[in-house]
Amino acid sequence: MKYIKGIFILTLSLCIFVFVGCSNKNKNEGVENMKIVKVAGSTTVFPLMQNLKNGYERQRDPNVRIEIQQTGSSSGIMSVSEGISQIAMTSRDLTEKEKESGLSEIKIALDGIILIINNDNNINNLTMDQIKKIFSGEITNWNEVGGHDGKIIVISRENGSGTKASFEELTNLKKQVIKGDKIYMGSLISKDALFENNAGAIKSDVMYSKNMIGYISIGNLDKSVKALSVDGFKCLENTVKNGEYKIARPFKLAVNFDNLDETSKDFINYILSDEGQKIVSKSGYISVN
Amino acid sequence: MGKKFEFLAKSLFFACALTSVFSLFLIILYIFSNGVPAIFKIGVFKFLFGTVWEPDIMEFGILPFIVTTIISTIVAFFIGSRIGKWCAIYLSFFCPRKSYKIIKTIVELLSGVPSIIYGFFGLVIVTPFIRENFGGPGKSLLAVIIILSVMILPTIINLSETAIKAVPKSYYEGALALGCNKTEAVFNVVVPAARSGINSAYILGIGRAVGETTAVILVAGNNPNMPTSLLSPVKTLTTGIGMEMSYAADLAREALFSIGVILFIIIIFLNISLIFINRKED
Repeated sequence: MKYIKGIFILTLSLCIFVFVGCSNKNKNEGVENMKIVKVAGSTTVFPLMQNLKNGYERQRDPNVRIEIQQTGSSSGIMSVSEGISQIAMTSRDLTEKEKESGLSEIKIALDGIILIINNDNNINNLTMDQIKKIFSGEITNWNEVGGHDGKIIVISRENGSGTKASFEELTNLKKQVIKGDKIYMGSLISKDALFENNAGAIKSDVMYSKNMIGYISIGNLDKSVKALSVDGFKCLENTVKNGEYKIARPFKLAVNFDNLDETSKDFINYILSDEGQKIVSKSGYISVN
Repeated sequence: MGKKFEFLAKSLFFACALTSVFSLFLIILYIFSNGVPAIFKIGVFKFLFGTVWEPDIMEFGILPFIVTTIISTIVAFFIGSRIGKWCAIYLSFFCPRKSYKIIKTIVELLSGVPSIIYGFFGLVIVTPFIRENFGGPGKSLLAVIIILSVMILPTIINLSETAIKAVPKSYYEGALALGCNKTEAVFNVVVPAARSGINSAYILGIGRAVGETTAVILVAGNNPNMPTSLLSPVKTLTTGIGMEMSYAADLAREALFSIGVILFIIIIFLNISLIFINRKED
């Protein structure tokens, strides 16, 4: 009985300590008048957002601090609907449920999804049909598409990834699955595929093996791997804009306009302005205007 | 004054003890309240024995993950426990003093290596080796087993050695006096006497193998289907969560918590079985 009282006092004082700490922090922020915009979401959009943040802080308002977290599209969207973040970065479309909860999407850039292979692989071009057949496991050897003799190993992003969803949609790797009275869109990606949860891992797989093929966002491309053209077109600004390069998708922001503060609005306007879009092109992506 | 101090100290320590108990309860509460409803939404049987994991079409079968986890853990444990136990025996009885220090330091260093480094080692050395010599994509069940066997070594070695050293010297000397040679004395008298400590070493090793995520993600290939051979790319329970947590939404997200529930139950089961095994042997 004696030390239960002691614990009570200890816990109480701990609580007070914690709460005092919190309230102090809030006060400080108020005094300094530092405006904070919290951005969370897709790991694919993150590198672009990082550049846009630097641009905004340099060219517009150095008193605004933009905090970016790479949490994945879904977590980012969730944090906006919960009011933890102001802006979510997403590489996938919002679901109906998310739209109903008051979120809207803003297109900020176009992204080409590129097929990558090992530098020693002599293939340079694949048709959309070949891509579909390779990823669904119908074509299993490189010599069927004019390459060396070797079993093709397909690498995909993980379930739920925006890049995977867009890739499947753009290359027709979706199939309808009817269950009861509901229709779902299933994936046709080969049962033998490897799955990785970031572009870096896919690049390092491809870098080490001549037989592997994967897909990544154009912003993640570097010299360690070889980019394929699709139907004879390389992924470039003009080929994406006029639709000749077919595997491209938009990058979006998701916001809740009902409780969006002025600072966040200004940041979004900056992204859509000429200056912002210049940064988009400079980062390797394709501008929207 | 003395009494008051005593009382204060006592309550401080009690509060600390309470913190760990409290955090365990919070974790259980959080994982179960998020995960259990989804299991029933999916259907207990469909969840545990379904072989298709495709959140896009609302298929959440985790049997392949469970099978992979069990196979990789058992095989890795079989390899790691043999090497680990014999290494501990060597360290405590057969090792010259000079090399003892070196080996012991290396083993301790091994236990401090972050798991991502093991994973990187697997990615750069083990998976290309498998790909070039056995075929397949390299990222495979075999790679997982190899990495896990190495990862559980330091846990098993360190704890077994402590257990073996804790056996009173008189057991060993008594055995020698009765005419045993050194090997017989060690294997027939000292090691059986250290059994309960070695068992805890095993269980903690298994726990580590079941729970390892970071390293496994890098070498497993993360394919959600049932493994058909040692060379198939696989997905374990932990990597199932680790791979998809950042992008999953709605029921897919809850299903990941459900996997957490299953993992939690496995770990609890392991710990309880340890208590029973040790009690039986006492």
